[in-house]
Amino acid sequence: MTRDIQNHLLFEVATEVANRVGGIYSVLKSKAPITVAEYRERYTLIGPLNQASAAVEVEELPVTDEKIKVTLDSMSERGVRWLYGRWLIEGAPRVLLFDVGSASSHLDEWKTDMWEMAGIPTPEHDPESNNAILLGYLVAWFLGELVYNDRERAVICHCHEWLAGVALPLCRKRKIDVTTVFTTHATLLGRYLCAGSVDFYNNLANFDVDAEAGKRGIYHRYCIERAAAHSADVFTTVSHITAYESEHLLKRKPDGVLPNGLNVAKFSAAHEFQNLHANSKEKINEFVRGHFYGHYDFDLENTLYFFIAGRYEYRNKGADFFIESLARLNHRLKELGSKMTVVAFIIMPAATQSYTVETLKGQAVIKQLEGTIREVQTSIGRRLFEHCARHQPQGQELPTLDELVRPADRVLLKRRVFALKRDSLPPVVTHNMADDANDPILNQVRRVKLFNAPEDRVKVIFHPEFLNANNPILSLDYEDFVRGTHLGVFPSYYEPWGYTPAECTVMGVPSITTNLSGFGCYMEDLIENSSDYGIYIVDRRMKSVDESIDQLTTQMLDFTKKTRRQRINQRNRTERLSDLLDWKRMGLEYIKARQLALRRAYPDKFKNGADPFADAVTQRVSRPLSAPGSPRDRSMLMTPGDLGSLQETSEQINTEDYVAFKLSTDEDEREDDGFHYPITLRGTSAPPEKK
Amino acid sequence: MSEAYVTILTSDNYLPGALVLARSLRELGTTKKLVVLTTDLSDASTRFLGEVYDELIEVETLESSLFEQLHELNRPELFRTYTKIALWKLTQFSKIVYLDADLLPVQNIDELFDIELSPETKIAAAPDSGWPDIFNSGLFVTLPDLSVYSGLIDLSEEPNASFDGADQGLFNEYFHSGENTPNRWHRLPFIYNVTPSSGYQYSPAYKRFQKDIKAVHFIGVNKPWLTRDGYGFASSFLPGGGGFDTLFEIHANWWKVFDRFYPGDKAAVIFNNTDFGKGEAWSLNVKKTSNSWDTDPELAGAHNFPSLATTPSPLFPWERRAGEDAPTRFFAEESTTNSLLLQLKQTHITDTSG
Repeated sequence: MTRDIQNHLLFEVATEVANRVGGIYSVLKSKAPITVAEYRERYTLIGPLNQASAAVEVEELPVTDEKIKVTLDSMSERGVRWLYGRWLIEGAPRVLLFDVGSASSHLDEWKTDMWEMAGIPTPEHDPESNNAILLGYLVAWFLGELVYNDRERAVICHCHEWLAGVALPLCRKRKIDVTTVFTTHATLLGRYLCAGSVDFYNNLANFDVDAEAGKRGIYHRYCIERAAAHSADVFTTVSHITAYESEHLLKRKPDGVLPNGLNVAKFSAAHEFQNLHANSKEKINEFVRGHFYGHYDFDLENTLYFFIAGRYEYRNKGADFFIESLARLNHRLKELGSKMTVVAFIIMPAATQSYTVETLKGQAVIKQLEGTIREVQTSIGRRLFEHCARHQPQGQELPTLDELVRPADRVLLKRRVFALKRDSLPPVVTHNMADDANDPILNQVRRVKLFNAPEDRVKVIFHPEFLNANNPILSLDYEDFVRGTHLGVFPSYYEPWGYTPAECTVMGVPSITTNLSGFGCYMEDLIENSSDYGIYIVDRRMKSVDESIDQLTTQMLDFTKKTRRQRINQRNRTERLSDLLDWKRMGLEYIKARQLALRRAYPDKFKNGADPFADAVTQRVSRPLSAPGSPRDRSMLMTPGDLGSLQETSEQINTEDYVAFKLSTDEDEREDDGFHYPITLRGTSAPPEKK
Repeated sequence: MSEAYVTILTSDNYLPGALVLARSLRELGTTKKLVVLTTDLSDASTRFLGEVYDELIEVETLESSLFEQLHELNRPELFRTYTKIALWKLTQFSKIVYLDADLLPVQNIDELFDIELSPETKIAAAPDSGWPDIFNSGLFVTLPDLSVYSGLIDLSEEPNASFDGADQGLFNEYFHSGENTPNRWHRLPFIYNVTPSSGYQYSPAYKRFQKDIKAVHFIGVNKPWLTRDGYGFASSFLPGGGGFDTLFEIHANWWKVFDRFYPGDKAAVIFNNTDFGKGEAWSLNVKKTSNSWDTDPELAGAHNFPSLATTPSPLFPWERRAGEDAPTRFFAEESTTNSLLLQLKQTHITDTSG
């Protein structure tokens, strides 16, 4: 007999289940609500147990599914420890975390098996691959045991990244009765090759992959990745460009692309997110006033905030492009006599010691000035009141300025103003760098001479640490910071997907990306007039480096020429694109990929256009699904690329009227409020029509 | 017999220069033929040249073997400039004006063809700026003449024939020295060959004499087509800072001509043929792939996805009782805002693709 496909079980395996390390965490976390909605309790995430992180992210539960319980109990009898529970995130998916340490006695035996089964060698001292092997064998053990106990339901095992991919060749070689999907979010070799600054894309088809992996000491890891890709029923990746990369580096053409979505917080009115922008911008303004004290000679009303953020990968993330084009932008703005000032933030964590004295002093002197003015204000008010209250017919109705502002006040104010004087220019970097002299970002800033001089129209601030509302300087969470900026600039060279520009988009912040990033290609394929929607795409494929930088400069320059009104309209349009990036739409590809996997495993069920899911439409879920609790006492800081789950914080918005809407008198501009502007979707990527 | 402007292109790297040169000459209303001598060019370059030049003549590369001198000059890439000797073989033309591909005419210079040359002065050229007192071989008027051709060939085979190892040294040697006749070349005004790297290109002079300039010659390694960054270009020339505005403007003018004729994709093709301007992924050819699950005919029928479970989980005791009857009243479809839909909201997005 064959298994029940309609009510199949889904296991998603990844090392970042309930344990944030990098981007996969965001993918799983943000995707959870729609997957849970589709599968309910038939969905379980499997990962390695990280005690510290599980303690705050997972609530332990008894295993309710009879078959899974039997399976896990039998594993316990043999010494395998595990934690079953619900992940305390939206959707509250079930998680099964294996303590890989409890199986370490099997390591040598399993390594030998890997060598005999798949010819994959494993060195002694690579704990990362050892853990990958332990996890993979535990997952295979579990799945094999489960399908032995449960002969009814079909099982899909979906693994993310090579670290969770060891189970796939095992399922295939040991003929475990499950169907499998493997998704790679970047290739190991691609990452290494790009970091080594080879001419990656132009040579993609010509690399001797085994030799390159060997040279970099990652041959065994590469083998695991390649074995996983080849043994999965369905092999997928996150973008077309990474699919091409996988085809050449892993030697299997992916069956399809599963782009990453976001969990989009829907606002009932557009002014709500515009409000958030205004509020967050004011916080950035505060920081800027302090940072540029003594040189704060530009008008914040005519200041735009640009930023780049992400892991500190100087070339891959395009920091080199950003700085070079900022220098050119500076020249062009000066040449045009523009009244605009651009403050460009570089948010990339590097090794630092502490904040610089100058940075802290800047915030302090501004705070002092603010405090003093508040005091003086109060005493002026008191004097004014006294004077008016004691008014006699023969006296002056109003006091003179000298009577109001006493010499003592003047001295105090003068002292505060003198404290704002400074001989040096406002610093570029906010922290003391561990290696200032060799820092590539600082060296390029020095080379192009962007030193925050008064005549410069482009100012640069390098914040070599992720943002956090608890930081003493620039006290904003990443999300709030992004909302307060005007433009995100991500001119990446290697970026399989590109969560940062996607996050900007759902927050209604325009962004620049490249046609070498998965996100850039995706949007370019999807919509025709993407720049109207605040998605600017730099051509880094055909254009020479110089031409690409020039294009980036022109895009930024054009942005500075927009009126406030035009920027607001553009933000409205940008925010509208969030529907396209919502998991509710992106998740569709996951569903299709799983169906393909089922069809490949159970072709009979699909013969002659049969639809084994035909009845599923009326399917009802009766089992209670517990409401999610909130994670206990762990600061869930957002970092670039981690915004998969924005909505928790976004719900608490104050919804006052957005004043900026009243500012423009231009009739033509008023007509385009950003809502009636047509999005022209290109053909095939559009979602299917609802039948 | 006709008269012609002639330039030489020995590598795709100078194509942008040769194109802008010809475009500028035409823009400035020349009545002469435009001829380009070529060696080892790509098909694309040949095609672009064919659009604007009247004649393309394939010639053989002549290489200088004076590498020592070239290295001393710090311009080893000039070893092919002996190819210029082929100019004197072009006897189908009565008179030619030779222009380097990195020269940008800014006024009509057809009057150069009116210059009378004689057996004593067989060449007219502008002086090289400063010392030594020789002419610059980036622009000259001459008469094609097979005897001159063989004379130059013979000279080029002698050791130390050219003090700089390139054509300029060779031609000056041939047309200048040996017979104690210091002026065997006709001296053209400097305005026909203004080399912007010279020290006296300072702004006041430019303001005063700008209108006289006929052609600008981008000598040295910094060619305008290497960067669109006018500031970088201008500041790279003059460490002292003088003449910045001049260079900036000249650079902008060069790009103005280029962009008018070679926008977008054309520029990409031109630069992708060069060594310096290849795109970072110029050979990347990601074919439009479609997902297997979208193209699989057998799976096509199965794309009727299970709708997401939107029934609330039982919460109240009565929800858990067995034998519960279906409600008798009618419920309208749930509104899209509170159900999980795998569908874009059609009211928001106009899908024009159908």
